[in-house]
Amino acid sequence: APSRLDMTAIPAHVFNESPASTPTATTPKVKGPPMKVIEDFSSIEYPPEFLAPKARDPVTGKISYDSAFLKQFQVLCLDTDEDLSAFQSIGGDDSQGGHDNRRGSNR
Amino acid sequence: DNTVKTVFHDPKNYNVKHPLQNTWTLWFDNPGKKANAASWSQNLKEIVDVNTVEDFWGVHNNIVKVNHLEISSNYHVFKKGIRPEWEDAANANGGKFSIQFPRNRTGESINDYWLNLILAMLGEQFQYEDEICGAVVSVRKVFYRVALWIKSSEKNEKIETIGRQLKEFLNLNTSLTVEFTPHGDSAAKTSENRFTI
Repeated sequence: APSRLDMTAIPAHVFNESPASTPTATTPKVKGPPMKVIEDFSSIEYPPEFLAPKARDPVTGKISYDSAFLKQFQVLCLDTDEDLSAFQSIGGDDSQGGHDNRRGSNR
Repeated sequence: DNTVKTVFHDPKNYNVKHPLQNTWTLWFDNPGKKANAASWSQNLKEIVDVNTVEDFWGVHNNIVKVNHLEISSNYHVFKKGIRPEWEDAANANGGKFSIQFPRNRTGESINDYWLNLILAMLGEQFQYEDEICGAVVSVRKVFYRVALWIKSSEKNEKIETIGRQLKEFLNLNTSLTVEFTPHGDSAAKTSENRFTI
């Protein structure tokens, strides 16, 4: 039977889903004009399968949302037009692609 | 088509967002090995401002999760205009609630603790929300630490309520304690202004 391949010489970053591309290779994000925000929450009819926000306090006018309402956005708002390229190399696991000794041993 | 569409009506082509009460700034720093005061300030990077729920999630879904950050790095989410430093006027007389989570027993749950804290802040769930300056998550060799920075540091009903709410919003195991420390007080181990909840 074939034995397991010895892959110890291959740096860990090779196995990562996202290639360690350089930030300069990506197109800069272009931000459009800011979208309108809801002024009058009572004018919005939320689809029945979603929780509606309590939103604005009638006395103080302050806007608040509980966590259950906010968590509904998690699967809906997947993209951003913000430039996060400064962030691309901060992951401890998949930045740099170096050969330090921690790699492999603690996976 | 002039109908108002939220992300719940049309996730691709919505035309109105949910405003937050405050604008929040996300900061990041990783002082690495040369952790002196000067390098810390230089390494502190202002990443992005968010003032809607949609924008917050767009950013959150596209940045490195806390459990994948390098050791010694920190995320800071603060009200716009407040720098995540003791020296900032809003923090000068303040302090922080902090909770340490052992890394080996916490793992990916740190992402949820951090998220729950940010959501409580951005959603203005704290009873004395004017007291809130921001929150920090720190990645260290053997622990994660989550901290909530507030404007004042005198032990009173307001602050104790914030501490209790913090525990509640994070869904903390009751055995974990939340410690309050006035800023600039970390060397004075016997300070009378420290307390736990």
